Amino acid sequence: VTKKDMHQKRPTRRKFAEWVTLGVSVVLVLAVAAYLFLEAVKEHPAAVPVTVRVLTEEVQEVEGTFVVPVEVMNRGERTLKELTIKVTFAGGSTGGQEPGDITIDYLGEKAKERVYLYLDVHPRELRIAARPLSYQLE
Amino acid sequence: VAIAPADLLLRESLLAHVTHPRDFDAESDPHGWREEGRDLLRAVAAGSIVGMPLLYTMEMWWRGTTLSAWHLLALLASSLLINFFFSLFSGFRASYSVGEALSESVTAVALGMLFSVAVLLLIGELTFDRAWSDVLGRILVEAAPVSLGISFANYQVRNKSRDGEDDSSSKSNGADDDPERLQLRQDLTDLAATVGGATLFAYNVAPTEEILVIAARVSPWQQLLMMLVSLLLCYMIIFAAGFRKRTVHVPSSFQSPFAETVMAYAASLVVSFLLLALVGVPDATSSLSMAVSMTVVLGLPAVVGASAGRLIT
Repeated sequence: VTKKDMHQKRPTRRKFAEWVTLGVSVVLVLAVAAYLFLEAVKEHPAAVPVTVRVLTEEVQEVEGTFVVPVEVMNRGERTLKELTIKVTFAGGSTGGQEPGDITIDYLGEKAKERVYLYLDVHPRELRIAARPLSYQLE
Repeated sequence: VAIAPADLLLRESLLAHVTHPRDFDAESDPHGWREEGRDLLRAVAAGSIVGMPLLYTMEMWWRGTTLSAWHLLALLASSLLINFFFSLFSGFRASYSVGEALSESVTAVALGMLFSVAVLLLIGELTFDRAWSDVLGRILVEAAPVSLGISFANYQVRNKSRDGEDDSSSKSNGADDDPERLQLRQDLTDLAATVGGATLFAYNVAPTEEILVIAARVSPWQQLLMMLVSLLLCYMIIFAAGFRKRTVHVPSSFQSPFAETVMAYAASLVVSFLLLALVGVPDATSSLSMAVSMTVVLGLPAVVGASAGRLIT
């Protein structure tokens, strides 16, 4: 079935319902285009601030190990790729806890993500430090 | 073949269920709402056939977040332009003019965006706690292929009817006019088309990590919603998208749109589970809850494929 086949079967005069659909569609597409244009002309610095918080108060014990959430937030205006977080431990007894890296594939603008650490000792006996190490931009 | 009056009545009522008028006259539909509703349903059906596998693709989600605003603007402009040309030859409405193509291209892009928002929300990929440019990037990258499907709606789904296959099969074997056998043949053809379409679509995504990612983050309530949306899409594609009439050889309640939709979805779920067990990620069937969750998640693209399969046979 082609449009030419159907051409004779229906008058081309647009009905009210089609005008409504067209009006809503035009408003939606124009709003998106306008927003993108404003974003495009705005300055977006390459340096992106990232906040990393170790939420020791939300620790949970599971089968003898402690799971601690770490909240990572991109406060900048660029999406980060391959964001690496460095986690280190200090304190009286680190319980053999080795420092390590966490990598997040993509973290969008203003986006927040949670990752979880497994610890052998309770986090109150440790000083856990987590900081952003590196990222890539596209 | 003698048909009892009671059967004739049942047959008429069943045909009334599965028959949709192609056009609405000015008296019954003065403002064109019913016809416009039918056109938009057809558009969504066609858009889902093209866009569904891409809506389940992780790289598409990520590309949307990393593209610059200029890139996204160019993508939006390109989508409008390509949809305009496609609408000249196909489109999703029955009228034909340059002005109509222009109107359809804008509507196709807008509808593509809304459909993408709905599916991305359903699979938990879209949340509004992010920056707007991040959200819009995901939507626009997905909306482009969906809108192309919408602009091809007339080629894909308009006036697709299973009458053709039934007629040809009847003509090729004139001696075989036993309604029971004709009905069985039609049902088997439908089942084969359903399973074939579901397999074709679901195989594209079944081995990928996306199914696991989505299944792990959607709650049981979201999975129930996903099942409802799957049934709705199935109904829209098979019956609402211009399914004119259908020959019923042996009238029964199994020929009703509701029963056929449920059976098509059930077949899609079976195909999804088997594909997950055969080629899915190793965790796919490690527990009952994960198996159910992943089957429901994969069931959405599978049912779109199943419905599409029924259209092209």
